Amino acid sequence: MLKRNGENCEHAVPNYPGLLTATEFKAYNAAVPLVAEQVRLAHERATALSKIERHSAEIAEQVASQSTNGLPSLTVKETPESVWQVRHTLFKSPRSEILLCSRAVGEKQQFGVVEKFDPNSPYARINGETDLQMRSNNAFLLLQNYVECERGVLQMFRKDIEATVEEQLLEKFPGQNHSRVVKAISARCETQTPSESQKEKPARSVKLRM
Amino acid sequence: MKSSQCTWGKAGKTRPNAMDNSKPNANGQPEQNGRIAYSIHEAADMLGVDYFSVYRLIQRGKIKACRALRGKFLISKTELFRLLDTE
Repeated sequence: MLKRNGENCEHAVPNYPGLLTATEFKAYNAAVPLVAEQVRLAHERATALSKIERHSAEIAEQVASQSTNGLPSLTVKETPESVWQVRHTLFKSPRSEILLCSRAVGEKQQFGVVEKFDPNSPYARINGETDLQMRSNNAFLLLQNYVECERGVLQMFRKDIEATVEEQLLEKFPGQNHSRVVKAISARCETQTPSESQKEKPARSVKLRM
Repeated sequence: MKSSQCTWGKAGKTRPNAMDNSKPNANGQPEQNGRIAYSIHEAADMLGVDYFSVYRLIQRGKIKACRALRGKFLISKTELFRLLDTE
């Protein structure tokens, strides 16, 4: 069996291809609850993005053919101010909404992704409650671009999770190398495990023939 | 992405613990207690926006952020004050 620092590498954890030693596994189990909420959020966003990516052609087709009559509108603070019709909610959280909007520019339609903040938030009170993220004449390309940008945001979020884990582990288990544990925790963000409370079981040992 | 490595003190040593001793007050205003930077979580609470909104604002260059030693994003107090339009 593979050994590291004199310990057997025998503990498998979700989504991580390697095996952890008993010491690493202990640190891993200590770190999982510390970032469980962030991992859940990362997974939720990743799932929502994949769904948007899968259905972007349908959404684009739907908004292009839909009549704009009676749709709610919002004003975006830019120069000059522009009024957009809300066509589709891409993501909704308690503090903000990401909306696919459109407006008529001459005879053509222009599409935009607008973030709408909670109007009572300190940020919205000063900077306006809407923020135009991107615009295009092609709704499909706009959605693809949106998904790409949001993946970048998720990557930043994931980096922060990794940094938090490393920081906490260095406090709890000083003097150890936590790089594998951090990678293993980060791997949890990719696809969520069935249950955060479920205990990871040690992997069965595998004999390698050389 | 508008971010850069930032350091405090001598010889480029980072001091992440210097950021851990206070929280935003009830009005979402940064407290005047010597803090120089805030985490994304704290900044989101102060601004009253979603976590991801702060990352989006960083990505689009609307908020300047820097990274501490382990790569954690931090937003300076002056930057937050600028967004909250307070001195």
